[in-house]
Amino acid sequence: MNCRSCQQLILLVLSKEANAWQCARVDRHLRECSVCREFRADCIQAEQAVRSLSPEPGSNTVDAVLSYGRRELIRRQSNTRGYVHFDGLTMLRPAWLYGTLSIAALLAFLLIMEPVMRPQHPDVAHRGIPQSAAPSELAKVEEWPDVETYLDELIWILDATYLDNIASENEKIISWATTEQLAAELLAWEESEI
Amino acid sequence: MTEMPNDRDSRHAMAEKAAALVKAYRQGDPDALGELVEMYKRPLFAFILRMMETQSEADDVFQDVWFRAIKNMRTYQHKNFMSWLFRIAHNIIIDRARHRKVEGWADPPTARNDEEAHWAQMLPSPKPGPDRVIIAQEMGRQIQAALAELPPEQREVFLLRMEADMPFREIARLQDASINTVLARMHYALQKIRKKLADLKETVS
Repeated sequence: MNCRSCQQLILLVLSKEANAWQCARVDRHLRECSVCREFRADCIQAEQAVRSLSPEPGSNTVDAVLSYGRRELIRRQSNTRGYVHFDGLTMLRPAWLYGTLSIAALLAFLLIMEPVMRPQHPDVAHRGIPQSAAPSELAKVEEWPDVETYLDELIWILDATYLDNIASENEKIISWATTEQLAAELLAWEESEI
Repeated sequence: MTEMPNDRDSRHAMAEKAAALVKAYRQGDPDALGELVEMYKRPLFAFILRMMETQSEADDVFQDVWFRAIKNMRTYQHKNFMSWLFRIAHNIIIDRARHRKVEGWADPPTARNDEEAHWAQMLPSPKPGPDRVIIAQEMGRQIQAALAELPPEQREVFLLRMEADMPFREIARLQDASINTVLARMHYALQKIRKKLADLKETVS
């Protein structure tokens, strides 16, 4: 360790910031180096000289500080009367606290009641769907978003009915054709019998 | 030969006492403030005096520092009250220097006759012999003269370390510099002061 590094460590040792290892290194160096020993001695001497010369502020200055401190304390106590103190934290004045809680309760009530107080869907009202059935019917209405789709759906139903009728007529024709054929066969059988 | 690190317990004890006093003052005890001022008035005022030009100016700054500290004590969250107090002082001194449009910071008083008397009043009083008083007076003058010649940053490091017993790590935080920079500043300051003291030693011997 050179002298400059040692002298910086001496400063740390004197300010009580050096660790044990640094203290030991300084001790080892000081045993061999008279220049650093002198540096250390001068540091201590300068520190003692400076501290022994320490001036003090005038008594009026200190009195002014203390009276300001008392005034500030009184001012704070009068300003914060009615506040809740908790280890340095100043909570809300009770009136503000109650006011805030009331507003929060009102908002919560409105939020809960919002679905009930919401106006009825115009489509539901127009079609005369019963109030109790409104949500499910509304779901159906929402499946047909416009009139055209609704009409398409209706035409499809009518077509289906028509085709059903056609099918039943065909059955009749088929059954009729079967009967006629049967009659013709009967006639043919009777003639053969005769 | 060297002081051991566990000597720093006294510094911790002082910080804890200050924290307790701050808490007591916040809870409404005005006497706690009196104790706090008493604890720190000497190092704080000495630091301010040597950074400012005159005693009256130092008194003003001292008051401002405490007024600001008292105003902000309700929101005080620091671990170390002394560092906080000296940071306030550091800021106020810089503000004043800027306000006066001075390049750098304020210069300390040069060794004038009235200042010499001021230093003489502050010398240790344990009834030393007249020669020791003279040597101490001379030493004070030499240190004062050396301080006046130091750049503001070096002067501040020297005063915070010597007057306020502030650790270098705290000084580094306050000056927003690395600890190596702060140690180098202290080293330069001590070299100049040692030179002055060496001249004095030669004269005395």
